[in-house]
Amino acid sequence: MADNPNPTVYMPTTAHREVKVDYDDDDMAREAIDAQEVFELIRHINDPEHPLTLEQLNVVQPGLISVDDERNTVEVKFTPTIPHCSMATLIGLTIRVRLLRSLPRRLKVAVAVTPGTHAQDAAITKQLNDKERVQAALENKALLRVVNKGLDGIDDIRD
Amino acid sequence: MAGLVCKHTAGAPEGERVWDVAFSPLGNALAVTGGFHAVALVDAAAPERQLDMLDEVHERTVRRIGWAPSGRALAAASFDGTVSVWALPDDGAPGGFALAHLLQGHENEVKAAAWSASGALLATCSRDKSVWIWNLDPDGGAPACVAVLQGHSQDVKTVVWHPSQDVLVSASYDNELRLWIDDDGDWFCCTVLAGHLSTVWDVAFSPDGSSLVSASSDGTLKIWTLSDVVAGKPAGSIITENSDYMCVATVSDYFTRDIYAVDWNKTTGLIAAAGGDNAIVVLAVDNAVASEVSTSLIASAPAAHDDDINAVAWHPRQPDLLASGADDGMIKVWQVPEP
Repeated sequence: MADNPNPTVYMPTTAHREVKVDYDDDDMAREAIDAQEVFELIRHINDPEHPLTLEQLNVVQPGLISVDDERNTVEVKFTPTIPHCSMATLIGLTIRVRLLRSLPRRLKVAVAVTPGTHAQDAAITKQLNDKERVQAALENKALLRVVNKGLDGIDDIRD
Repeated sequence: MAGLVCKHTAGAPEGERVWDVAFSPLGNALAVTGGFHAVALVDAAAPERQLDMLDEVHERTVRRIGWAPSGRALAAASFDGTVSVWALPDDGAPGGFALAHLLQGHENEVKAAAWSASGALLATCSRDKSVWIWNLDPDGGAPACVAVLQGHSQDVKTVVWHPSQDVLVSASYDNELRLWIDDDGDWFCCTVLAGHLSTVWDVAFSPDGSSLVSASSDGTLKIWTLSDVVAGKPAGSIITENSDYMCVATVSDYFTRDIYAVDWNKTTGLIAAAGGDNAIVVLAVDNAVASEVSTSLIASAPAAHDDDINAVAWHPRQPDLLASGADDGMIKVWQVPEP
């Protein structure tokens, strides 16, 4: 039984532009990144409980992403649909994995629960930004399978 | 302030992330570990030259290594929940390091393994919140667990022994450090060092053990000194059940992100620290026994690596040399220039 059986579904309100997501590590040219590009990378992630994307559930929103390209920092805040969502850590981990696999290495990524939107927001945020905990989670095959399910088909999607 | 001079650069096996670098006690070898699930021993004077590979035991990341003071054994802590102990053959027989023991007992990821100065004890710590003390059999038998220390409320990130006494310090995701001592075989926590605002990733003792430096995700180093030493008591650096470390400095000027690694040079007294801002800084501690110490920047390498730095280690015999390991899959050896 899903935590939130009847989530509100939102329609995309932003006009999306085509974004090239395969940043070649060997490419010495520095490509500037902005919040819209980061949003493009994560909006199609599948929700773990519903046949909907994180964008459709308003879990991720362009306005909750901040990028400081000069200082090489990206911060993504996400908003669980309900304050006791047991899937919040998994959603955050899936966002982090997507960005780890897609963004240039120079960028330092922080993933956070939007403050005040979850009963354990600070604890979940701390866990999602602990590099050892993230690495250990990704070495857990069962957990990695669930993360990959969230990312299933994501690179095939084009507007 | 001078720039650190990069003397050597080498890639880790398989290009994987480096989690730890540790010089052997004589300083001729550098043990390197990380995402390649093994311990690589490389030539400290030419780290691109691999001496040995201690592999085929761990299935997951090897987080940290601890050398025995003799240099004839080392322990590797893995995310697979075990600690492998590797040893050279007895009596100088030919052959390299071989697996001597596989220590099991922790419930999940083991984060560190550290050998006491006497070589008689091994400490390990884990995400299971516990610290284990193992008694090493001088005849080479399996180490026996003599204490399971509970006290931290979260993931224990590392354990480090005092340079001369059987005193252990542990650092945790619960933002605190704990000091553990032994009363006739009965281990207990004699003091809790609270003050960091986030995870404490690493800790190192000063050369005489009277001070500690801790590194945290809060972007600060804290220097702690024994209260008895601050108060000027004779023999104040002997740690007893009543001992207490007080925070004498919080250093935040040189860091912009999480600090993952710190090491205190046993000869020069300089502190090296590094972390998520890809930089290495070398600091001098001024007025080490006053109640308010200050630090000054001696040297730095602002873009030492292309990604987070997870480990820094001073060379035990050449006090101007420093090794670093990072998420960019590189191992580097640096020289602190003459002042």
